[in-house]
Amino acid sequence: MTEVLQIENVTKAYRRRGRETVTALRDVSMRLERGDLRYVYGPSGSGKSTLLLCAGGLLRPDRGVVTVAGRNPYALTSEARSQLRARHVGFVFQQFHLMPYLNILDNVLAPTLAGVNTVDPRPRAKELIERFGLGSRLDHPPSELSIGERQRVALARALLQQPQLLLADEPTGNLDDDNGRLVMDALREFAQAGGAVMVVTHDRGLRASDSFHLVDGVLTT
Amino acid sequence: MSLWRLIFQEILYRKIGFLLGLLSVVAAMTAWIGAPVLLRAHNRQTDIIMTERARATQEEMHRMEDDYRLIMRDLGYNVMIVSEDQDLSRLRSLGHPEVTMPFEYVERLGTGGIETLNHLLPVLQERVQWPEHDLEIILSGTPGQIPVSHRLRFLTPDGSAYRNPIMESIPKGELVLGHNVAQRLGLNAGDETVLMGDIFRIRAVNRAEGTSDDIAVWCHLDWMQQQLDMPGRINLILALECICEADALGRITADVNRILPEVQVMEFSSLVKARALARNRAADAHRTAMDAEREHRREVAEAYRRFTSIMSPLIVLVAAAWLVFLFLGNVRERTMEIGVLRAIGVGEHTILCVFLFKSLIMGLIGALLGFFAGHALGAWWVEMNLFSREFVDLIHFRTLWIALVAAPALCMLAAWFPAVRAIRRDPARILCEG
Ligand SMILES: Nc1ncnc2c1ncn2[C@@H]1O[C@H](COP(=O)(O)OP(=O)(O)OP(=O)(O)O)[C@@H](O)[C@H]1O
Ligand SMILES: [Mg+2]
Repeated sequence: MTEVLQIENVTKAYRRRGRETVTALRDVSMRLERGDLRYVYGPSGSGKSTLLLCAGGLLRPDRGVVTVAGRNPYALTSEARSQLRARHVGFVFQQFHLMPYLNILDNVLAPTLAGVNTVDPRPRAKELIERFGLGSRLDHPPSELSIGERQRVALARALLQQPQLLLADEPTGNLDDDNGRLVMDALREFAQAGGAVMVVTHDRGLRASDSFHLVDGVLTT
Repeated sequence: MSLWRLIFQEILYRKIGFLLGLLSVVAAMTAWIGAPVLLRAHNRQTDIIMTERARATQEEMHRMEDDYRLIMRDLGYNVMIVSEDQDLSRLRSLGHPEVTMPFEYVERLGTGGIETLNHLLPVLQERVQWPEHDLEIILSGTPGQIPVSHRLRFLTPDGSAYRNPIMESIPKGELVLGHNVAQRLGLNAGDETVLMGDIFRIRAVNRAEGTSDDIAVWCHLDWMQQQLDMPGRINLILALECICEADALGRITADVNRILPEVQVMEFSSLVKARALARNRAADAHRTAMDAEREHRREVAEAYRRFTSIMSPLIVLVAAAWLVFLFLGNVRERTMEIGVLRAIGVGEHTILCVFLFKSLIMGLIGALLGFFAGHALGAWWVEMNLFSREFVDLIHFRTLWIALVAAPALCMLAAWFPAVRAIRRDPARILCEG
């Protein structure tokens, strides 16, 4: 089975009492297979982040089915869903969201708190950090890193558990061209190694021929 | 990376918040542990003070006895004057004289100008049965002190009585009871009783002397003479505090016999009795003082108890509220962190543990610090030396175990609600907002 992510007819609306309902996703369907790296391009407010959270098992859709690594996360208990994320999904955020009080090594090791590891994750963590050119800064806190370096740490953290699916929300949004390229190369490499990557962005420069377009919650190719 | 590492790193990163939380745990534990320590220390101090006082009293009494011996030498002799027909051995065995003398003897002594004589007390004593109670008593009648002519300056203007008599007269219609009599009949000062058909009020009850005085019932001489049909008779004259330097008894006897050749004079119980009296009085005074002191310290202890019984729970409550507030702040500060942890697959239970374990650490440190602070404060409050044996004796290590359970429990309870709030928050919403 090569299919990693399948989204079928997913609709998601934000309802708040006393406020207008915002429909962020309308009947969205898509699939990602091993080796895929697909962009979801759309303007601000079109529902990109919503799609990413639904795909990652963090936001339950109103309608439709999500399948990650062969399982529907929303049919699982909260703990089992967490385990599914820990084993198979990696997240990269535009704001990196590193723990300010942990050094780089510990930040990369943070996913081990989910308790799914059987082998010592430290060698792999160091290897990833090394690969992203931060081998000499293992015990530095994030505050001592440049923006680009922080994003690389976030990427290493997402890759630590060798997930099948990598979900990246504007991963290059805060980076200069060189750093952006570095991150994208890493994502491409991950896909070539058999992972599936979904990158959501409003950056036209990243558009490719097989990009998805998301406008007002409607997904087209 | 372990959960503990995450927790310790976070504590180090947000030191101030943790220290503020710790401070409130220490305050709560200090108040909670300090209150009973304060009371124990106070009671211990009371014991020490009382023991010290008792020893001081003992010393004081020995000194007082010596003082009294000296005073008595200056004050002079107490003598008793009885009829020359009185058999002295019978007097001793009976406890009172039998042979009577005319009342005018005492008047003659009073006006005789004998320099050595000071205070004169005529008495009539008779062993009788108290008919109403079927009790043997020594009925003793006296009109009170008789004026001595050369002591006019101590008398009231009409010359009939002393301004400050050393023995009070007993008004008619009143009785003074010997200790035994009062005890046997269950009578107290102020009670009423019937003696030989007449109603009397009890004026006072004498202290126990261990002599025949204990079965005496003192009344007014006139009434007694009338009842026993012995008008104008007495059988004893007490001459108290006779002033004399050398060979006292000899000189007094000579002086008395010059005026009344038909009497015998003998010394009685002056020193022994006065000394015993002094000792009793001193002991009484000290006992009263010590009782007052003990009562005062008991009241202080009670005040402490009442104060701490309100303050301690109040401080614990305020500390708990402050802890909840601090943990809520900590959770709010870490919202994004929680969202990210959830996204990378860390479960709700683990997140809950992050906060509960942190509060556990705070509680354990707080319990230890509070345990020592509570003891130190409690002892310091009552001015107990912190390096003394008494202080070491105050420390109950059982309390430490209780504190080591109670403080973490308090902290975890305070952290529970904020922690649950943390995991209730939707990670998707957190991440969207970020
Ligand atoms: N928690 C929420 N409550 C209500 N509406 C929301 C919520 N989160 C998102 N929305 C709305 O849903 C729509 C889609 O939001 P979403 O964050 O998915 O857009 P986006 O494409 O990621 O935008 P951007 O490029 O600016 O990040 C927007 O109109 C947004 O206002
Ligand atoms: Mg977005």
